[in-house]
Amino acid sequence: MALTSIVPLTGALLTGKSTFGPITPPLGLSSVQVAIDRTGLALLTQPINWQIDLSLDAGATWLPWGAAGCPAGQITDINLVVQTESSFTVNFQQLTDANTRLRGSITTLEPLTTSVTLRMS
Amino acid sequence: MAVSTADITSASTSGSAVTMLTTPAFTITSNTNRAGFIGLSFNNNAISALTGSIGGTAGSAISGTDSGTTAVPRSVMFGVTAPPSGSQTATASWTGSSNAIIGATTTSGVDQTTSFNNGTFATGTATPSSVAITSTSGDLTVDTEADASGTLPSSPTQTSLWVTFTGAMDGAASRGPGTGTTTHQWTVGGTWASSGANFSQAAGGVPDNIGSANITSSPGRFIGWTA
Repeated sequence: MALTSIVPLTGALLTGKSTFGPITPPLGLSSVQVAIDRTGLALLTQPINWQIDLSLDAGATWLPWGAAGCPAGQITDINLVVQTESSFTVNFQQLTDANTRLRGSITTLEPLTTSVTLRMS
Repeated sequence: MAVSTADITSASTSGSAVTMLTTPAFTITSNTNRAGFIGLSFNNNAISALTGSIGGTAGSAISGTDSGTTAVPRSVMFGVTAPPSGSQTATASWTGSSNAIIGATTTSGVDQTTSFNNGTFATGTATPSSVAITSTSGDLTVDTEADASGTLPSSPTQTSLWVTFTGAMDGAASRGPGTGTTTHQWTVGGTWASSGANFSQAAGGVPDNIGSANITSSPGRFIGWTA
């Protein structure tokens, strides 16, 4: 299955929770990576958290479907390579169908500029 | 009462450049004597201040399971006694950014005083990963594997609970029966760390698959008496 990429949220975010979705993903997909762009976080200091919810009934009910947190500032991996994204990946409960929906949010403790990208396959 | 295999549920999430991960929701049985473990795999062995919880119930690192700085990938397991039933998530956090994998498995029939014992870990550079866990009949052994080969762990010698990856970071977990010593192995592509622990069965009671509530309170059985 080809990778499908969606950017549901981008730009300057205020302190607090910013939401995105609901999104109807393409049919027949099995997993989603939820990534945030770190290029605008280098001079910031406060942690960032983001999460998604999954609906299997076209948005009538929702389940928490994964979350992650990361520090602000410039971070490197174990090879000292600067990281330009932080992300998490989860499998869907079943292959996406016409009733699958995704929504999510990103919570910040200071204003920042970033984007959220959903990569589904 | 044997540790239940019928009540086992699991969920997992992988992450890159993160300090916290939460699993998707999964359903925890309402049966008694519940417990769960959180398996964590990291490619940064210098992380610190780990925490773990299931359904909001805090756990603690299972003694002996943390591979620490012995190898570049790191594995460690947290135990949680009496997590709430129903739809729940598991969360772990730490200090120091890492690629990481979190998985959680819960079940019932577990001793509520000493839910986990015989924690251990092993590390190596050649396939297969292998960790031997001491147990007794009726217990449930579990392992959590970490490697940074970029090749998904495969061919487990016990029953797989999850297999996942993020970037070049791979993680997996499996469960096995209490048999005295249960060895958990995975085919891996490089340097690995593997943690293991034992779910200790609850004392007394009846075999898990019979269920005393059904014998004493099933309406169908009482209808049989009055017919």
